[in-house]
Amino acid sequence: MKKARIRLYAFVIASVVWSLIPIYYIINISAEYYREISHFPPYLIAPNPSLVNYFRLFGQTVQTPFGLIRPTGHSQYFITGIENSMIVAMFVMMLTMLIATPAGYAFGRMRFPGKDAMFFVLLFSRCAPPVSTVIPYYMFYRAAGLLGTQAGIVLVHLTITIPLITWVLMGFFRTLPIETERAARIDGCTRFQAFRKVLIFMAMPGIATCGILAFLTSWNEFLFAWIVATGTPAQTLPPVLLGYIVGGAEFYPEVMAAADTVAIIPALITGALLQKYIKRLNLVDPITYR
Amino acid sequence: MAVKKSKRESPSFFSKFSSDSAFGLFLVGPLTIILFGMVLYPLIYSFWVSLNWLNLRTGVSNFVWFENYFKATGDPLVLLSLWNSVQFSIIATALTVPLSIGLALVMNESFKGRSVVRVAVILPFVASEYLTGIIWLYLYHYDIGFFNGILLALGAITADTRINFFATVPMLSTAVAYSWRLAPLGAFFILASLQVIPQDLYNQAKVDGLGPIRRFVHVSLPYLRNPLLMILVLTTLFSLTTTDIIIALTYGGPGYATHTATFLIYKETFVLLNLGYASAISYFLLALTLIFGTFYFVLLTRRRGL
Repeated sequence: MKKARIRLYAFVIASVVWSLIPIYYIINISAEYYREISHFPPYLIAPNPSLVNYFRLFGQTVQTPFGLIRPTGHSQYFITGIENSMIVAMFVMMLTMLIATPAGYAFGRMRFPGKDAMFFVLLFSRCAPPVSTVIPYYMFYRAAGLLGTQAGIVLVHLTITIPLITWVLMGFFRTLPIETERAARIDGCTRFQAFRKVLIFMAMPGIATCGILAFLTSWNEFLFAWIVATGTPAQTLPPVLLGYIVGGAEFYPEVMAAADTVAIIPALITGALLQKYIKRLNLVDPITYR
Repeated sequence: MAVKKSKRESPSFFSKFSSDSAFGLFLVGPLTIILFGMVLYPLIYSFWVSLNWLNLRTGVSNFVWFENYFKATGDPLVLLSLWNSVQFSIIATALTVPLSIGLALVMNESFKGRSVVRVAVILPFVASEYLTGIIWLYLYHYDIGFFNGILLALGAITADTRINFFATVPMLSTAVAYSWRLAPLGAFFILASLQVIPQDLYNQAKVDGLGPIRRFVHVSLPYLRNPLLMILVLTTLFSLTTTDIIIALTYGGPGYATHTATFLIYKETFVLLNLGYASAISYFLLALTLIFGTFYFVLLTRRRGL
């Protein structure tokens, strides 16, 4: 029995290490000075951990034991990138919930013509490679003057989040007890009133989780944001971060690691929130659909 | 529930949606528009583009019928890229499925600090794909990389025998990074199914003297058929259509080692600006995706003894 326990803990530690080592390593790199990065063999634990790189990232000049360290050239882009990402993700979250909540309810609870067909379109809309759907969007954006605007990024993110969130919410609305809705109807509510006054409050945990998920999806989305808005004042954080590698800019591994750490923080917070609810979300797949 | 009865007959804008189906259609209306906009419009438009020789740099735009498709079938780079995509997809799936089973089995056990472990396990999934690429760049790096660093610290290699991951195993390195990110999703799918298995079955199997591996194969696996196939479909689709990790981690290189079809489409579209040709190639990739997709979907929905 004891041997089994030890083996279990070995597996637990292995899976935690596997999941966290990469994240640990960029945090570790971001805490090092430039001279420590170029040291060989590489430090697995930062010898003088400091927040210098984070100050440089946000455009501060720092006095260190190794002299005055100046900010990197792209700190301005980084700061506007965070601002833009926040604005875009907020709008995406609000609009997604506004459209996907009623749709999720309709899919989870009602019958209407064309429902089955729409469900399969919903599920397999991501079959086409995103990089090829980018071409029509790009041509449309060029004609409509949406390239390099925040509205354009919001719109293109909505095409990703709305199907995803509708699908997730559909499963959630299905699990809510139908009796409460019936009781509300017997009390004289119309179907819409029952939805607006009763069901939506019962579904609040699911709706909140989905809001977080929509925010996260938008915050993390790279390809579309890159193509719609790279190099413009509207660019979000992911294209800025990738610009550190492929943009031909000056390359500071330790500052880029700090930038990645900042970009991953919302993910850390939402990860903690998500795992609590992820089991309640009860995703609907083609098998359990009927 | 505090619902006012007096509202019963109030003339409301929504009262005309008395029948269920009309109300349902009203609720999904905005979604329908979005779905048409994101599925139908791109499909038709990119098909139209693929029938043209359209280059944004030179501004040339000619209607050429199916010439782009014929050109693509004779292009060795297209064939190589499609083959690379298939390879990447197979390796990524082969890594992701066992990994997610393993993570799910660990999370299913009861031990102290289980919720903390769950947060840790889901983290790679909420970190985005391009960030996964950048993070693993640090792990694989020849000079400052973690893997070489830890092998040096353990004394397994010397400075001269360091491993250059992208030169030796480019596809595997990319696929490992990709499954690091995707496995938690699969793990949570499987975990949900593991938790409905009655504990009695395990106890009986124990009484019958089955070891942990045979207990997994004979007791758990039948319950996991649906989630496993679901993961198989999702991983295959995602890995065939991913671009972010290739751009962030290898940029198609070294040479053409990780030059997948999506990366070729990206390059033709946004570097060479050959939109027509890129659209034609994307239809080849879509066909590949649909072949894999339908294959698994038939596998998924076919009723067998279970």
